[in-house]
Amino acid sequence: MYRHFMAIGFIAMLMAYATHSWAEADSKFRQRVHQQSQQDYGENDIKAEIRLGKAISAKIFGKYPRLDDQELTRYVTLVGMSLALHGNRTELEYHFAVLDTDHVNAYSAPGGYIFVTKGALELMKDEAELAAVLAHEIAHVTERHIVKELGIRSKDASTTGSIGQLLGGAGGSANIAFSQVVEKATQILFEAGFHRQDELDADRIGTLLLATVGYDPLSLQRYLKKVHAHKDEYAQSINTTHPPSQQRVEKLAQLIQDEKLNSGEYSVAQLRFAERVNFN
Amino acid sequence: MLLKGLGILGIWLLLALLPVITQASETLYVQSVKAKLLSSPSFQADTIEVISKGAAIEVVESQQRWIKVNYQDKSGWINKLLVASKPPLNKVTLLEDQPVSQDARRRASSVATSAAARGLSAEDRARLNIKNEFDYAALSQMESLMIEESEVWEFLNEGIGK
Repeated sequence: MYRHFMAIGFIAMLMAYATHSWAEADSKFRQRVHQQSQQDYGENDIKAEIRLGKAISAKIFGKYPRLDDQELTRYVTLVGMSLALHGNRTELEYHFAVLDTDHVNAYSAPGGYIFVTKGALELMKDEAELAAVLAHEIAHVTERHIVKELGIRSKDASTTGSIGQLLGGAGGSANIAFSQVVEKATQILFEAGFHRQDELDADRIGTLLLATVGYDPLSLQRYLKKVHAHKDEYAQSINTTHPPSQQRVEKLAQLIQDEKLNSGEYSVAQLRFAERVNFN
Repeated sequence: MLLKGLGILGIWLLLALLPVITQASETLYVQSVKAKLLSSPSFQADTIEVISKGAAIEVVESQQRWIKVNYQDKSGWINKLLVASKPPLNKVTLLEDQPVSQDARRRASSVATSAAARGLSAEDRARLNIKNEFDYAALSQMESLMIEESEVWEFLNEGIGK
């Protein structure tokens, strides 16, 4: 009889362990679903994304001319690539440009096209602030915010409604679809802005990217405060397409506290920035 | 007899549990070109090892933004942003899909050629540029600046001492 109880107890223990293991695995799975890149897109989706990004970029240049300064563009590209190499979408070829306008803003197009305005550069005081703005834009690309915002499924190029299928076809309907997607994307960039949550996510991911590379992770928060305090008409450009600076600053303060980012050794590379970015 | 039966039942239960137990150990892949394996879940922690893109790591613990992993014979922490559930892809470009013959390149204008060579077909450009709102020459110039990865690492080391 004693042996029977021992056996039943053993089975009960196994069942309890099974329940615990299952709950733990389920909990971990839920965490994964929400916090890790799901990579639910393939090579054809990425090609379509790049193609869309090219058209949007050409349209951005149609609105603001490209600043023809090779040395400055090279410097911005080096800072941007330093960040992109540490990002989670290294399959993309990133390109960077300075836009010749006094408006204070930055843009990104799908596929790795990143833009910062001359007005934004003039407001920055060091390389970490430049890195902060670029990191925020890179995060929009790595998180595929425009692609998701346009409501295009991107699971597989063969799936109905995927970005590959919508943009990859030929003929009249494909032409119209392509034009409409480009039009809608530029409307998001210049007028409507991203969803508030997308902007906050880009701030969070951008700041973590800064810390990963070694740039001062407080620099995005610092730059946002500066834009907020800068009240002229050129700074208003960023306020029409982004959530209120105050909310962004508060969210970043929480992240900085959680990850203890306000202590430790980070670089701002102020001297190098001053040497390379000078519009006088 | 009863004990023997229960014993067999126990073995079956154990076998049934195996998939659940193995599911808890998860393999992820490094997506960034380099990722630091750190001694604690903090950007300021000591670096145990620098792991390269594509390396497989075994997750042993998960926090909000960090995971504890086993890599080869070492154990440490990696930020979640740097990993994903599938191996990373190689560089994706549009160049190979839309080859442009040398003759065609010579005939076309330099702007049109550059845009086509970089993946936008003449049809793409024609359909979009009805109102002349697109500047493909600037796009072409933007794409023409290519910097070697080695130069970027050199730039990083000089600037922020990492």
